[in-house]
Amino acid sequence: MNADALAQGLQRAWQRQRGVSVVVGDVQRLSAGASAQTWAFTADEGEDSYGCVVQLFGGGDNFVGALDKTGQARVQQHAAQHGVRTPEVVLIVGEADGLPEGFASRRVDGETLGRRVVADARYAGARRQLVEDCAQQLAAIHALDVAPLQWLPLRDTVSQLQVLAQTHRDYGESLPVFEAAFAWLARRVPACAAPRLVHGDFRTGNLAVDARGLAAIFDWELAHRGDPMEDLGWLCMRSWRFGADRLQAGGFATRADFYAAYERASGRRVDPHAVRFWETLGTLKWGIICQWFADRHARGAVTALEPAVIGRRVSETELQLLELMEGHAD
Amino acid sequence: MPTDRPDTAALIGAVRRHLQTQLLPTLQGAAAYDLRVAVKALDIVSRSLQRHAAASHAERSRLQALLGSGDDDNAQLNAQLCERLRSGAMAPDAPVLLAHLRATVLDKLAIDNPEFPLYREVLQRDTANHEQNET
Repeated sequence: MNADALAQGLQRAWQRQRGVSVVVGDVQRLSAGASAQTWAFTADEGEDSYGCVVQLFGGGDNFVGALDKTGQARVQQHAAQHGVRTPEVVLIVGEADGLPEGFASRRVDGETLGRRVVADARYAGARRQLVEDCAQQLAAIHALDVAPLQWLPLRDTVSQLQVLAQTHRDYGESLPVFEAAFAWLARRVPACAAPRLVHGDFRTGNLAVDARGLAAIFDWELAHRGDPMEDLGWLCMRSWRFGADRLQAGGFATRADFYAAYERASGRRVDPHAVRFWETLGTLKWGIICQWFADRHARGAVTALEPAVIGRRVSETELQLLELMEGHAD
Repeated sequence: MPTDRPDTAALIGAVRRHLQTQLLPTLQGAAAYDLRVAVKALDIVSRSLQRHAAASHAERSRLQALLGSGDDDNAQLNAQLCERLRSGAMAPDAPVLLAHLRATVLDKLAIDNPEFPLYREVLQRDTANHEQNET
């Protein structure tokens, strides 16, 4: 895939879907992630010029439960159209356009690199604002009417545990820490009143931050209907604090401040035991995702170096799980 | 059959040193990043060569005691332990289980990532507790 082929494919897709011709320019490859390609481009439609970003699915298998690019585009667009701070989708692309499966959205500028968001002096002001912004945005996501989202998979807690356990066991590597965690979690399933939209990967690293605070929410690949406390637990995982370990919420706020902000924004009470449950399940899930990378490498499905080595981070999640189960984790 | 010199550990060390001191300074951006990942992977191999046999032996002894088994295959022993946890025959919060799991994971991290901040915190805390218990 080179810039010219991409530009031509995007022009074809734009004409086909939006019914107008467009000139695509400034095509630049952005991150070279572990699975997808991301490119920036401008689209000049008559007098209007759109700064856009296109994500192309790299091919190969997804971790279990991930939406395909069309599903991801659909849920992101729904959220954007209902007031959530996430970029509007402008185009869905695929085979018909001579391109890999993917979608394009409006470009939003901001820092996404976790260690910069958490530590750079330039974002000190933004960090103070982030707890309010993230609480409000999560409250907004959880408040969305799920009636038009019945196509989105329903992942209740017990079935999530079962699917994760099966995924883990299929790798054929006996990990007693993971089995202990499954048993521990099964005994502590929190009650969930009614399923809401859950982002599924709301964490530092998937948020664009600018000088004023939260600029945009990205990466709806793990979105589903379920228990909203799952999003709070995921954000509080130690895995995404990027070194600011005492600021449990995303490396930018204490757990207490974040819970209080979410309660104010949502009108819902935060059950700390439920959040701990999801934080623990999230840590276990991240450990199993590390195993997934190792499995792909073993099968020859991935040749890049970094994904091949991620399997050796399983032990980090094992220690985090023991700390959580023994009540040492802050 | 003993190997000629440099032995396995020394070979890895030589490659690692070359990559770190000769190649890395010539690279930038994504290539430099990937090379740092490669160096870290070699470090895992080095630490594994040093520590894995002893850690595995200690794990085996603990598992045999925990399971009341004379089996000497770690994979088999771990599979048995997992089966007991799945069936409920072993409770996930049994203190003797957690002590074994903790010792195993700490040995693993000594190989995989001894700089992991949580690992360092836990070691410090365990040392402090141990000292307190001794006084």
